Amino acid sequence: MTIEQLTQAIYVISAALFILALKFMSEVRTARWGNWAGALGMILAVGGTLLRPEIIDYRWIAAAAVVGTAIGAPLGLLMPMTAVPQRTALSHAFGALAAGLVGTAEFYLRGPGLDEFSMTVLCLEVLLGYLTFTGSLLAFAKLQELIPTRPIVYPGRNYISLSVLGLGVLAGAYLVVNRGPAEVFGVLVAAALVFGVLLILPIGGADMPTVIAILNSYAGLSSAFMGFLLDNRLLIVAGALDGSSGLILSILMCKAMNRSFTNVLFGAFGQVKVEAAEKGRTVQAYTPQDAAAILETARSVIIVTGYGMAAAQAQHAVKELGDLLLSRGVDVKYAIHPVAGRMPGHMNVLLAEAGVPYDLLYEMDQINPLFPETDVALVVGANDVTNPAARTKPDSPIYGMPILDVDKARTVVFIKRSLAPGFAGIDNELFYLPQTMMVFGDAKKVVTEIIATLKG
Amino acid sequence: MIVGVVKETYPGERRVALTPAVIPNLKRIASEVLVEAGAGVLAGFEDGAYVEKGAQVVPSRREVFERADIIVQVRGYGANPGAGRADLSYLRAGQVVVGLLDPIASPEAAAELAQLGVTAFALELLPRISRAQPMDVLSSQATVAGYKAALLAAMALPKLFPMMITAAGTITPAKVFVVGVGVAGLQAIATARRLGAVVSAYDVRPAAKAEAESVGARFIELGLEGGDVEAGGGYARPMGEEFYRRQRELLGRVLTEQDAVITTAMVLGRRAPVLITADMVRRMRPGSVIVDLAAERGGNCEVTVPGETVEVSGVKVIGAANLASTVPYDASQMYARNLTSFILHVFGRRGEPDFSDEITRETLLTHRGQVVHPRVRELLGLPPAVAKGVG
Amino acid sequence: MTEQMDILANLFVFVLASFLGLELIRHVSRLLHTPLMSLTNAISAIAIVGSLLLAGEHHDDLSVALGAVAVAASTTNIVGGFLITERILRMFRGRERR
Repeated sequence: MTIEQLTQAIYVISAALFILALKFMSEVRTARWGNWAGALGMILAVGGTLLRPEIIDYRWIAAAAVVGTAIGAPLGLLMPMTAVPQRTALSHAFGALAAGLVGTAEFYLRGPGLDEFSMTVLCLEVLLGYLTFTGSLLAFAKLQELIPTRPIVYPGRNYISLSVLGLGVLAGAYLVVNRGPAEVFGVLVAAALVFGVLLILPIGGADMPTVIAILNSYAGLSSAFMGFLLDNRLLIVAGALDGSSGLILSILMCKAMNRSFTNVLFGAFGQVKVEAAEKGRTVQAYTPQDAAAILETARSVIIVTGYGMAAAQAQHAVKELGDLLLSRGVDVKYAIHPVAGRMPGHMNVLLAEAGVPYDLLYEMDQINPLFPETDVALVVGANDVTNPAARTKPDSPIYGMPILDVDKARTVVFIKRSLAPGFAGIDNELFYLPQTMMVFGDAKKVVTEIIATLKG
Repeated sequence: MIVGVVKETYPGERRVALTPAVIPNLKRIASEVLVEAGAGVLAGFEDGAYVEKGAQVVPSRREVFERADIIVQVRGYGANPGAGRADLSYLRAGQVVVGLLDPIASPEAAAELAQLGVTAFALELLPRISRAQPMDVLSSQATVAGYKAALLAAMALPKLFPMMITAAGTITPAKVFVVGVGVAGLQAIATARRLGAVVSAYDVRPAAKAEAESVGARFIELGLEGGDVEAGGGYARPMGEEFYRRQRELLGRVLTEQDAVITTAMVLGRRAPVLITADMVRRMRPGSVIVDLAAERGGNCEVTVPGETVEVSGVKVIGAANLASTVPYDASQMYARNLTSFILHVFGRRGEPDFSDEITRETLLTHRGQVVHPRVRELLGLPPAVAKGVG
Repeated sequence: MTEQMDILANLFVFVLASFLGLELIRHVSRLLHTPLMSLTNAISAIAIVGSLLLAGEHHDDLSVALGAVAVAASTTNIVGGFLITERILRMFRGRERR
């Protein structure tokens, strides 16, 4: 086998690993393998490339790799977990810069000799690379609050942005036709850099994670175009995977945050809508499958039942879920608040009917100290009795009422029919806490689905 | 501050207002808790148990009244009109009385207490808000009554409640019908279900359907125009006579299919509505049973005699009276907890009640020689009290 | 001619890979949005392949310089990206099944 063939073989394996990485990452159970697969794929990609005979000088590569690691390691290790979006944006900026620089160098080295197709992809690569570079830097700055997070708008911004983009496109077209001169290339680069900034300026901090996913997509496309330029299928595959997954991910993220995708994307070109995500409060809505994923990894669960379970007559399903968790070695307790339900002992009667033994039932004073140590608090149709406002808001009608300290658990999975208020007629502060996962639906249906997911 | 509990004098009343378990909690604000000797015996609490928890047992009733600042009872004067009169001579001005005083049905009793200068809190008047749930005696006692009513029905019925498929044939489950889905009704439904009966329920309030179903009963719709039936606090508004006539007609048909009927329909402060006429009883199956929890308020059934069992055409009509008292141990435990929560709330801060607090204000019946509760004043024909009258 | 076929073949690969990416990610659970974003960020550092070639081929000083910077930048992306993803995933770690 020649080196060439070996390299190609390695590239194929690397591409396969990238595909596997995405596949693994799409399910909670296999998610951790996804990262390993991706890393391995990247190592193979690098290794395979280094084997190629075109490479004659390794010194600069080694030095650059050291520098890169020296910057990248702290970036990855020292970051607080709340800063994931901005660190991702920063990491992005670096990657996009690389793509832009490669395109620039290619232009210098081979510019006049390129055919139209190659010049086209080169221009696209450069355009996308540099605009993603500055765009990501700006996204980082906004998230890190180095510049104001609110959308920055100015009159005529649509025209200005479009003009800049148009300028870049024109430059590119000119280059495709004429293969030069260098000054026009400079215009292309400058236009891309500026456009990246203009694109991100009008977008608000709350929408940034979505935008980062789109920038991901652009960076991926840039790499794909590099692949066309260098006739490297690995680049094309990895770049295309990134391109499409970045786009889909940003659409999914928009939906999850209840924002319109076009609004976010073209917020740069349209009206600035009042950002509900910044002003109002959103709850995080999950599916029963998500709840099952969380329960699967829990070591201790406290099930809090309320009138919602009674109304749905879900006590048998709840018991089944409790038993399933018990059979897997999870510590399961049932918490009953003194005024849960519509009559004294309401929960008792239902849980007794379902056959939940007395020794798993805990009253409020017994169970409250245990919430902080619990992985998951599963709330099935209880509402006011879990509302932290009773502790924190003196003007709330339920202030002073002792509650179950559900909010102290590590994760809260809250099953409820809708966001409608409960008996006391007020909003439950618990819904808006970051550790709370809302699962909307009929209690019996949701619990049954969770059971099915856990089993299947 | 000294709290005193006396033995109940209402005929047949076996509950006691304080149980040993609540004494330590009460002593957080009471310097002394006095217990009339033998007060808790009928409920299952010996004097020794009280002493163990830090109370002082006092041989004479009079002494309790003389020494205590706050007197607590299950049935205070308004709810104990006969024998309760004897206590009036022991009361003094400025003394506090807390208990069930039946103010809406017996406003004159309130007036008498006012004349003595007593500060009376009637627990029936507690507002039905979330914060007051730990103090809600009506709910806790109704729970016991509802449970007991189901047991009485099961005992009186010549049939078994649950279904049994046996070598000796199949026993079909009893059909139980609960009228009135308040706390007592819900507990009756739950208990009947625990015993294996097939339970259906009816209530004029539309909200009751979901609640009945939440304890496993089938809700019977009569198709009457609901209108504005809710009176708040789980009570129904008194409706017109025409409404009740229609209701009886439709109910009558349902009744003919039932083995046991438990009625719990009550309207605040008035005579309970008659939902079952003698005629309707006659058309029921012989051997079936009616347990009328509203007996003391006139009864939901025409033929009910409070405290007695009457038989009409083979149908037993049980006039259930003071059912909570027949399970005195736990009924007293719950009552005592409710009461203690209330006392700690009202007198907890500086020993002086805060009359701007909703709970304290609404439960207050008499103070400083006046009947202060607006509704009771209305019933007595008195003009509304001066706004700054209390505190 | 072969060049065109090459281009077409590459286009084929591009389109296939794009659809693949779409299908793989379409129904991903909300729980995984963040680690996925981080992982795809790391993968986009595949640009390192081009950077390595540039820096290693050593055509002239400028290209080597650009290449070296690109390698450094891509390496930052790789190291940072995979590390960040790993840390995010640690939060999902459940109990060890004995």
